[in-house]
Amino acid sequence: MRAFAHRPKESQMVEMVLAFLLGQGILGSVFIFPALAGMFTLPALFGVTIPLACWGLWHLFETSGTVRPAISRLYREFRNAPLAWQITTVFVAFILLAGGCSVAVEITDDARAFYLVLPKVVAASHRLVALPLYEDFSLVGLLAEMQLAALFLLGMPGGSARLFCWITALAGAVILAAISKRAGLGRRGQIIALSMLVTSTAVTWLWGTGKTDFFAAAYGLCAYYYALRSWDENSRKHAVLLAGLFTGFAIVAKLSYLVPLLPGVFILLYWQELQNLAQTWRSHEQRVALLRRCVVVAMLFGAVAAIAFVPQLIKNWMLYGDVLKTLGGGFQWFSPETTRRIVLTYPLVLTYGNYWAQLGNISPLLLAFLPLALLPPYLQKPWNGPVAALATAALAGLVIWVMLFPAVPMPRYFLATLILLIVPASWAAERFSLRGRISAHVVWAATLLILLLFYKVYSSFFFNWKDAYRNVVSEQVEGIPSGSEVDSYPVYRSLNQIAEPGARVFTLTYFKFLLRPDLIQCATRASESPTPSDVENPESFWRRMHTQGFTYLLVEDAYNIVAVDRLIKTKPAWVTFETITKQGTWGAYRITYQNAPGKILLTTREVAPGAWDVVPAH
Amino acid sequence: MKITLAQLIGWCWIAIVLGLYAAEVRYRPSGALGSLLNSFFDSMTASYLH
Repeated sequence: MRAFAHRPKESQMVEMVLAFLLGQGILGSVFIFPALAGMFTLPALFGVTIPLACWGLWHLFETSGTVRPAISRLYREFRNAPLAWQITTVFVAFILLAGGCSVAVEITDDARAFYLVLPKVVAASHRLVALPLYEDFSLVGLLAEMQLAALFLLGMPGGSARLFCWITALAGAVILAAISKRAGLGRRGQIIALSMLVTSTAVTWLWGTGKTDFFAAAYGLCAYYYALRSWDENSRKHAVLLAGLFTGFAIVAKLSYLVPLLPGVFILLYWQELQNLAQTWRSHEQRVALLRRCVVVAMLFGAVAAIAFVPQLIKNWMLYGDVLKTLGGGFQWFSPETTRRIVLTYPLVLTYGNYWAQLGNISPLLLAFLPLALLPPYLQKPWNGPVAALATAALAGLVIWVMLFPAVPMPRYFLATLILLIVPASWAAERFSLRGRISAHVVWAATLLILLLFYKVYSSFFFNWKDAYRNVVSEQVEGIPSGSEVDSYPVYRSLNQIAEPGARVFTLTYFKFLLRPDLIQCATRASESPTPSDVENPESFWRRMHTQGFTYLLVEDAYNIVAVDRLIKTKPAWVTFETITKQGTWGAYRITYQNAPGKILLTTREVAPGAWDVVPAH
Repeated sequence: MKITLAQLIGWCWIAIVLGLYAAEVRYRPSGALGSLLNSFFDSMTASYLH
């Protein structure tokens, strides 16, 4: 942050949080290089982090004198607030802190398949290579995943890596409060904003389920914050640079942010120019000057944002030989009729929708409070204040998203934009609450009611205190199994105990997080995946299993590409099966081959400590 | 105390939104209102490729 000395300044607490998130983006990018070089080891990690940590601690020590006055000021404000808002404040703080318990929730499918698996393997193998079965998908930005890999490398359990997602979410909450404050909201408005944030399941789902989407949201909020603060000519340059850097980090962390975040950030950056557009457009000289100013801002912004992409592009060049490699496929997850219904039910779909893979909703408080802005007494023109700017930026981002991706009502793909919408909604609620005693009571009662209802409905899911404690103190290295993991856990454990180092496990499941890292590295690759034709021709399937060197089978019945039972029942006489463990829909088997036709073509080799490759047998 | 139409609309809107949310997550009424709510929530759900 010291490189941006002329940036717009905020309170020490917000400055620390902004520095924390900037440091995350930088470290996540830097970690890629030792990992690509196969040197992601503890000495390398300490070499990078300890000097920076000492520098950060020294800075914290320098500013420690400001903490006590800040807490005193907050306490005084709290004491002077009406009792109703004191209760609401305490409850919001409680839910934010209790969110740490979400490290005990069931890990999402995506995290068990990729987002936690890759960090685990990188830490164990000290290198970054494409994850088996996800060879193409590994091209995505790995900003958050590399930070989680560092936690795995430090010997912290799976619970702690997930706890880091929650800490990042807390940082995001601080940035939301800071944006609200800069938009002119009072403490009441800021508390309403935080209430909306914590009662949005789209946010709370990301606290501890292992998905890394909130990292992008936090960087996106920082980008919006600095774009909003860029209006002051004295600090504009550094605000633009920081907005560019955070936008780059957000898009690297979640590529979908390119669509809703970028237009919103540019609306905020050019907000003042847009106000004067009508006047300046009349004069040729002013028009040229305006265009020049806009181009300079865009170039500064683009140059810094591009820096965030460099490590990821280098990674893709080294792993795939293609800097600009992209994933194929689209977002056509629903039929045209359903897609039409999704579009027609915006914004209700964000609060009440329950579509496949939607994974959480936005708080009903947002839907309840945002339209209050349309009620009289109307604001006097000109509508060019920060709230209007933020509302325009968020709504523009949302509209562009819906236009380009109508079949994707999943909030995590454009979460920062939806969170930004909280600010005008909170502003409207605060303004409404000042219109009379009853309105004030309605707003705080609605806020508190939703907080209480949220806690009651989701307490057993997000706030499991006992399991969270056991996860954090590491009774089990990968965390306590929860939900669907309960059946699979003993199966993975048995296989991990029995399988030889570097054994090849044929995985008829996407989920490998609980497998031993060497087994994950040697497991099924995308090119070896079973196909529906294997069911018709089991002899060929088993012959391939033998030649590719698979000696174990991990099966999840729900995995429906091939009919597992049929393959097992129709196995040739030269294949022998031994059940290691079977529980629920999960099973682990040892396969032995007697007088098998053909030769074994593939085997495995430990090419460096912890790093395993599948190599030709001869 | 003077209550304006705008305030009334605001209160009603908040009550409707929160009522729908409460019905969705926990407190679904029975009878005709329950059926109506079921249809509403069913219209906002679909599985993969449907």
